[in-house]
Amino acid sequence: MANAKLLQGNEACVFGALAAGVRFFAGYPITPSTEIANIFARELPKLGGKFMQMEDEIASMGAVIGASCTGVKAITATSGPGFSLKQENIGFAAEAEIPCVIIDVMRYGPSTGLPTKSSQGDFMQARWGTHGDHAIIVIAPYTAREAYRETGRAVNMSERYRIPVIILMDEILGHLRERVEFKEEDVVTVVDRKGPAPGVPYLPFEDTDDLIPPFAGFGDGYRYHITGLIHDKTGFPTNDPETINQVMRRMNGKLDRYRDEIVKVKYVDVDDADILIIAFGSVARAAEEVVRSMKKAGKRVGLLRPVTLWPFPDKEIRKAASGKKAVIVPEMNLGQMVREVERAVAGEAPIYPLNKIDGELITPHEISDLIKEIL
Amino acid sequence: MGKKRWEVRLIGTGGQGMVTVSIILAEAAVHEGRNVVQSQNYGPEVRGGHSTSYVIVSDDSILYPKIDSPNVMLIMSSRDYRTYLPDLAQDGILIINGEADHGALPDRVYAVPITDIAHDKVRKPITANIVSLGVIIGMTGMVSEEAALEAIQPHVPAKALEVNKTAFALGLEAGRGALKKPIAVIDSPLV
Amino acid sequence: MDATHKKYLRMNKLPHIWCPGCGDGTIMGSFIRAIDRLGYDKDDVAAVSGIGCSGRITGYLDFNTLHTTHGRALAFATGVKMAKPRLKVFVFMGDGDATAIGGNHLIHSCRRNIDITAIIFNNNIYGMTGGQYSPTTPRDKYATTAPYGTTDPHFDIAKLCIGAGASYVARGTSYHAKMLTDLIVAGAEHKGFSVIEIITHCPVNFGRRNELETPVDMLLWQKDHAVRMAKAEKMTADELADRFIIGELHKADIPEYVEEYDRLIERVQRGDTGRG
Repeated sequence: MANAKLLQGNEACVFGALAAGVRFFAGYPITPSTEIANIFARELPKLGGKFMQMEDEIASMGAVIGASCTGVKAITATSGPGFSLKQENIGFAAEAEIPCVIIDVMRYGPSTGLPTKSSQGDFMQARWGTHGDHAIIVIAPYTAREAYRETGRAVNMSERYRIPVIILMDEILGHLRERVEFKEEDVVTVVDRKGPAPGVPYLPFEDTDDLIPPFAGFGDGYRYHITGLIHDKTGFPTNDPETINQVMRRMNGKLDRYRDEIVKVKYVDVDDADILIIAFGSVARAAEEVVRSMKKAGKRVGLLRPVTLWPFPDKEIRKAASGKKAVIVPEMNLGQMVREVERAVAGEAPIYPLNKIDGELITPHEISDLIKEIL
Repeated sequence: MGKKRWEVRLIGTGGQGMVTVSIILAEAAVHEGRNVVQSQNYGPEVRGGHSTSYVIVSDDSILYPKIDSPNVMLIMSSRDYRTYLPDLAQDGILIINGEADHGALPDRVYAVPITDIAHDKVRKPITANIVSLGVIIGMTGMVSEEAALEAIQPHVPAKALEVNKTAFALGLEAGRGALKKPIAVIDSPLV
Repeated sequence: MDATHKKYLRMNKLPHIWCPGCGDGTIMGSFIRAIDRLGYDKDDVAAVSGIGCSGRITGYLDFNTLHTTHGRALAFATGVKMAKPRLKVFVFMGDGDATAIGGNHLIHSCRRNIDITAIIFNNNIYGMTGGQYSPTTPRDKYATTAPYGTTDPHFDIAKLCIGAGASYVARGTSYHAKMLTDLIVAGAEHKGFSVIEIITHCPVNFGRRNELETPVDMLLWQKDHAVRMAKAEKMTADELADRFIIGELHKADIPEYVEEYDRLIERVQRGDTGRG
């Protein structure tokens, strides 16, 4: 950990996952996430872990869930088209509360789109890609160093809350290599899923006080049923309206209960700012560059960077944005996060979207030009 | 000079090893404890296509990870340098491979016979990329010779290390003293 | 119900949802007797199923059970087996599940030769959704999506699996229940990917529409059209034309996937990358 090294964003995800105890990867080759599969294939056997190249994206997601059912920490990686294909099984993981992590290295779409160009077009899909009411966590790092740490956190959150966690990378962050010097705060502490309490009958989907049912791995001596059908606390399908309502509210309620632990936001010069930029991922790097340059020029611009995208940090944003002269939301899509920002800010400040959809990163110039226009 | 920021763009043909050059340059900067970002524009072509890689070396932390106006550009392929000239930062340099056929070159454009050096002097045409690394470092002093040599080693087979060291030295020699006027380093990607 | 069956069933989940006269219960009975004969500890068995009538079997069996998404049972099961190889993994699929939406997983599981036993309930129809034709519905049969008869050619599941590289392929029926138990036992004991195709009957959604009015008619059809391997070898192609062969159809001794990967781990951990 001590020495500085050149680390690629995609590579950082792999080492963060391994540090958190991931020992199973299943995936399918897709640009621009392929390096993740390549490096897992090289590293997992060294640790006694297993790598599988499956026949398709759907099978990869299925195998990850299957592995996790035995108690092994499991992960997959993909990009837009593959992320779309995985959605049904992501819904299964959400409904059956199977811990797993999905890395989506975003490329421009829809469809085959621009395989080698960047995008932030999966912001909404990451939250609402699978059908139905479901709990899901989405996080977005902005440097290779943070990709390491946040992948570790993603694995830990998934294990702790029994919620699938999506990591939204993008082509730029996935492919760039940068100097990383790990510090004390980058150390990934391993969190394991909670097991059944000894001496009491095991209810795999028990309505516990913490809303998180204990998990028993297949083969650990607890024979029980896992299904994607809406099920009661015993794990078996139910059509009883009262039970359905209760179990689905518990499952989705985990996000509310643990919201403040899950939500992570980074602030740069926000308090004194006249203008607030809200950006995530690679775009936040351009935005922070603007904050730095503007400061030198005596202009007060701040950045609020959501590291957790879902649950959306609405109250943090509302607090930071209230009374600002302008809130700028640059995104590499036609305006997805800005809708959530509008909901959060609720008229407390004027909001300016800045959307770029040509596969290229929004530049500091483009943001500063908009600021100059507003001022 | 304040905080230095070098923005280097390498233009080549897939398979020439220019992406490796950008990674070596980046690793050399890491060895020196400097901040660095390296990447490339990925095309669907695995071999033979057009490839652009880039490196940012800075004493300050690097946020915006892209290059809009490089102060150092090197074209290894046969592409016309005039296409790239407008991108060049004020008082930056553009190095082109070869010396004949270019006619009179603008002040900021330098022709260095990189392929010829690899072919005639190193007698290993495959080392042209390492010659180009030497040329860049010789002209700019962006990273130290020692850091570059340390970074080269893991990227070449052990038995080819000596010949690559020779290639690097010949590149350095060709680059040193070639500058006609100093290169302006970049203050910030916004200015 | 005798004690053997009770031992392996989740009695509080019965009665099952299958229609009267359905073949699925017979298959479940054969499977239970096979597990009993194999002597597996219930804690060491993982039963994985897809979607459809057959998929519901995992709800009734007292093992580690996983009822997955439509067509994907083999993908989930592959993750289970790879992550915990000591588990005995059985996968239950219908014909639509295994050969239409899950066809890709089926052929690739055959290719990998992973030590899983796949039990395919082939009743030639999508039963749960109300009788739509499947990839195994023969030509000129009637279904809710083939009101004028089917025009699609059909898959031969056993042949498909043999072609894709499965190392054990057998075919049984829901009529020949004892033989089915034998085939499941043999498939489970075989190291590698084993496929047991079961010709079974859906009286409600296939038989009624195709001149096999009762469950008994359908079972008698199976009896009349099934030919044991030994007998089939003495028959001409013409004689076999509208019949199907039952028994062990294919067996090969080839490397098993999980063991091969474990060998790779062992090799990599001692520093041997395999490249000399």
